[in-house]
Amino acid sequence: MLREFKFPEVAEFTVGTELKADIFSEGERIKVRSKSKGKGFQGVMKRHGFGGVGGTTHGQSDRLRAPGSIGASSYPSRVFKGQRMAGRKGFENVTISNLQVIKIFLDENLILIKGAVPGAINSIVELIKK
Amino acid sequence: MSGIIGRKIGMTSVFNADGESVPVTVIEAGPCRIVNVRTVEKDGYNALQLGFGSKKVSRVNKPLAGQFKKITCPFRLC
Repeated sequence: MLREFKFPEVAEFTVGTELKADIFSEGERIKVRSKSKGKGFQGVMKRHGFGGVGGTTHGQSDRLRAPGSIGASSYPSRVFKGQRMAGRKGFENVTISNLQVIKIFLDENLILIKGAVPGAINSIVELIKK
Repeated sequence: MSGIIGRKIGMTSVFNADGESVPVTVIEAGPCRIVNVRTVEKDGYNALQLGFGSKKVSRVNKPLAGQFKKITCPFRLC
């Protein structure tokens, strides 16, 4: 796994040396970036927070979780690009800012971060200093 | 903007000095080996390319292996 991080000053670093968790300090606020959990093919209510269409009375059925209209008719006679529809949700880069480092176990290379972090267990995360 | 690569282990809770329970995510953070150094003179920006984890030699493709030419432990990517 290779990743690149911008460092303001690189003169002191040489290729082959190791960086450890001690670049952070306890109590510091950091950013965490990771791939979120994949949710598979999801409808518009779960994926985009749509409200669904109407109720179940007046003979209406099967429309509770529908997206509704996706565009006007004769003009523009097409669906606009970027129209939010059902599709694959999740497994995208998510960055969470302002997470607090609670504790660092340097000999075991472990960091405890307050709160939740995106991604499944065993997924790769980037810890970014502000 | 400096940083480090890690692996999410799971969640647990710890108690702080006030006796309050704090929900925490455990992350295995590093050690990350510096694979390449980008400098303003050479690349136009300052950055470090970091490697983390390990991989079987037979699973490493040539472009990735080439990135590790400068390092003494080529295929243990940490």
